[in-house]
Amino acid sequence: MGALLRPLMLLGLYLPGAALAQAAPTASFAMGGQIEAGTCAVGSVVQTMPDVAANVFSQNASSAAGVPSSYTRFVLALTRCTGVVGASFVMGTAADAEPAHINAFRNKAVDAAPFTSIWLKAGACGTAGATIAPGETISREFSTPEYDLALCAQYHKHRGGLVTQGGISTDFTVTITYR
Amino acid sequence: MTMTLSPTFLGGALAVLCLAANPAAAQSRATANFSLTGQIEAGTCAITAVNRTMKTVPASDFPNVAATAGGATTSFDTFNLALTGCSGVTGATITFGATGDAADGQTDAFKNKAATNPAPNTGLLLKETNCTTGETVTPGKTLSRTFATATHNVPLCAQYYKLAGGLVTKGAISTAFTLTVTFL
Repeated sequence: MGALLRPLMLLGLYLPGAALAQAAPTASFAMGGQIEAGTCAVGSVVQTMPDVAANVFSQNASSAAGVPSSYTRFVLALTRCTGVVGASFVMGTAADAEPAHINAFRNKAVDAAPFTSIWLKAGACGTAGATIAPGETISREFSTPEYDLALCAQYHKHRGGLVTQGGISTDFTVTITYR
Repeated sequence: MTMTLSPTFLGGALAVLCLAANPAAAQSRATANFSLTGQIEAGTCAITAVNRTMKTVPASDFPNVAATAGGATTSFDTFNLALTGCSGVTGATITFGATGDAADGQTDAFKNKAATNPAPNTGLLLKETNCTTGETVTPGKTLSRTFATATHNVPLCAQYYKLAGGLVTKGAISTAFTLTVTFL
């Protein structure tokens, strides 16, 4: 009888192994993207410069010079800036330049006064102002809601002849990239 | 003829009788307990890692007041955390990272962990279901869901978030953390 019982008792062993805690599965979670610079509102600049007489220009056909009596200060105003720490301004393109004087903007008036162009400077038109050549990029740092880019324009005589009566105007596109 | 049983013969007869009677003797019963014990644990689901590339938005989409915190609605990104191939599962608890994944000084937003040029004063906000009315899933929060289907989706919505203390400017924004899932 003892031999008969032995195998039954072996089957009665407690089997606790399956009750162990289960390891929690994990998965990675990643999300993100990019924040680009904010923007400002910017309006078009339309400046009417003073009429001047042709005799205020240099009377030397081979000379190039500006006309102080035509100095016109204005600003390119950036407003409602958010998320902006600065901007770069591309002032037209090289194609906007006067062929005989690439630092000045071409006179695009239909009845253009001969040998004239428009000279643009940053800040002031005098010697303190830095010339802004067509296609040049200028950069400014600011983090305020509004920013004024100070500019000054003046009539300019380039080499090759004398200035006589006529219209003088230019236009170009300013491309602004915000930081 | 008179037949006389000799003692020897008698003994032989008794012996035969005893042998014949032996199978009819009472037998004692043997018993033993039979016990099998175990545990059935919950089944599992497959979980795919979440890797969301969110939209690029301008910094001007964030509040423009340094002290103000707020999300950028243009960055709303709705998606599902998918549990698939579930068997033997009646639900799950899902823990979203840990409190250490929160932005500095914050409890609601996940930290911007971008290694290169992180956009200043930003974090990421995660919500249940949608970014407008959904409950915020804070770092370390555990969500519990009951389901008995082979597939279950947990709808979520992520958004870029401006932290108080400064303005948002250009830069990268990203976060990463570990989901810990326990099946029920």
